[in-house]
Amino acid sequence: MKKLLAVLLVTVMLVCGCGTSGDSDGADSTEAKDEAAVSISEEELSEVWDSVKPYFEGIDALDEEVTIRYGDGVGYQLSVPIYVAWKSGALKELGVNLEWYPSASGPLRVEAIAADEIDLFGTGFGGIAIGCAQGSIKMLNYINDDSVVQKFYVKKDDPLAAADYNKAGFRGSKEDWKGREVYMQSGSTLQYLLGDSLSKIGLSLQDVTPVYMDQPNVNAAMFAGKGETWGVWNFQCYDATLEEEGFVPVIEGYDVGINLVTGYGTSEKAWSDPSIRAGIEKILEAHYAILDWMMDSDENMEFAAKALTYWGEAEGTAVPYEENLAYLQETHYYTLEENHEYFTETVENNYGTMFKALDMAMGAMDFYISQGNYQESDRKYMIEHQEDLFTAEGLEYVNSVR
Amino acid sequence: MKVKRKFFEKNDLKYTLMTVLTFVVFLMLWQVLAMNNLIVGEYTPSPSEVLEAFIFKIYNVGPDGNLLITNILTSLQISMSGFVLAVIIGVPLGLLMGWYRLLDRFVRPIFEIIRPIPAVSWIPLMIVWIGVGTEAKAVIIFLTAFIPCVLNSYTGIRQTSQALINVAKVYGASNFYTFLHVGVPSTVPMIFAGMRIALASSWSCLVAAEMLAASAGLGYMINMGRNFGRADVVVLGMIIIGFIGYIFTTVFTVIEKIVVRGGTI
Repeated sequence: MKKLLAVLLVTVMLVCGCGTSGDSDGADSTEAKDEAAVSISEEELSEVWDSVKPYFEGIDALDEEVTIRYGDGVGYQLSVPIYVAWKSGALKELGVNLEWYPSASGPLRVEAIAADEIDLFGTGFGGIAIGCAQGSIKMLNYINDDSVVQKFYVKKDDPLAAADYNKAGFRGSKEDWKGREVYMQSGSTLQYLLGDSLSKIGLSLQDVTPVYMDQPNVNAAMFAGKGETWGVWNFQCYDATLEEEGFVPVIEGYDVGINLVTGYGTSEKAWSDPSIRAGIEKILEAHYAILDWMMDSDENMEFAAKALTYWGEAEGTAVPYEENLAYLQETHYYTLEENHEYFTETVENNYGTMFKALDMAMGAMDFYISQGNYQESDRKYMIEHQEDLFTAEGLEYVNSVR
Repeated sequence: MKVKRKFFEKNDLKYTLMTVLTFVVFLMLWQVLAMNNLIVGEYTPSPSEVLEAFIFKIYNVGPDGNLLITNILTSLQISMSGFVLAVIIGVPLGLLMGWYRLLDRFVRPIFEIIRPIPAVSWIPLMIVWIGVGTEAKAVIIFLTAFIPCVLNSYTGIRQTSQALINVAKVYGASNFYTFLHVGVPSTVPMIFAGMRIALASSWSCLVAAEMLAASAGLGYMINMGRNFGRADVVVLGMIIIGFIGYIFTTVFTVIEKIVVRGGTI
């Protein structure tokens, strides 16, 4: 009996021990899952990493290694450059030890940076807007246009699926949309897309019935057939299952002409720390090196799609390679030159003189203010503090060393 | 001889003053810490900012799209639906399980498995089974409030004095009659204690329930406040949830005193 108890005790300890070691580093969940079975072979992956490395030749490494705590989501197109730079070992070669803190949304990352839990983060417009309104962030660049991954779907037997495209570039008339129940992530850019699209046919969000919930809940409702219109974003827009299950897109962000930027942000505190700043500047250098690599050939873009596929599979958000490739090919990544223009040149608009980077956010701000989500005082704060909220220093550093 | 108690005795006044003083000191400390950015996170609002948010939300719909009163009423509707459902099902179930061994053996294993499951983890299944309407949110609340209702009723009726049961039997009372006239009355204080816990649980589970899906409600207001960086609205939502929860508990305690005033068996 004693022996049996001892065996049971040892077994329990071993099981608990294994579980603990697997979860010990919460900052890097992908590391722990790298051994998971994925469809991309080790050989293909090593080809991806080998293909990247020549683009880092000539980039000086830091004298001393620095750890950068980075907050971002998993499997997003905005994160592909930094993910590839990280996983290929290029960042390590440059003296940057990246700790990836996965988090579900931009607003959460802004909370994390305000609490000094991370040094750098990638975010969509949601995080940029909150961070700028609070004054808790410093935007370093814009990564890409997010509008290709913002869509609303209906089932194919819904009359809206067969409705003609209107002049604004999406399906359905005023009558088709009035009173429609729409499930979407609360406080998301999808809300802006819907509101902006409806306004073009003379409706507002008050004319439909928006139901706000977290994105996983939207997905659960969608596949359970609950509701009639669902907002979907990020890689899920390229999920072939949607088409197989009979879902048809009725509003697509890119087609209706909205502009939704993503970018890297940091905090004043992190940017003021010389070693952290040096690490972030190296990350920016690496980001543009990876972009050069991705845009250099179709083969490299395919490699990037393979990396994204591997990442998704390792994290349990599997999207097939072909869809990831389409997703990356349709994404517009802002170049260093474009960014330099946005972050240094100013324009005049109804609200005064501002950086082009801030001007690009004004359309979305108009909408959010009209909905009561933000106030005019938030916009005023952004304009008055734009020199602190948007800095071209990182971009200028990259320009100076390239 | 029964001595009539003064409405406000000296000690009552002293304790009331101490309570008020605690609140005042707490608020002052909070205000000073927030004004000097000494609270972790730097963006923690001060009490005066929360008060401003309160006044703002009475007349304005931002940032969540609803007036404060709409959010309060929506949350009350959801939490009360879940709570009432939990009492109607949970209390009789607990009493019957505690009295009838066969039912206990049959139901208890399932109950014990369901008991530790957090209400939030039911959300995906609720969406598939019931959808995202008020019913689904009420069921999430029900699942939280149901547990203390069952447990307290169960424990209470099992503590019924064996001497009283024996007396009932001697007088020829049937098992069901004894259950109804001896067991249930002796359990009333425990039932009320369970209901009070359930009430607090149902109210505190609001944010989780409104994560399921919402267009209004205090939990929804908190979520939206977070999404749009309005820490003042988040704290306001938290305070209102706490305040309404306190009112509930106070009212419930009064009801409990009235109901059990005659004493129990």
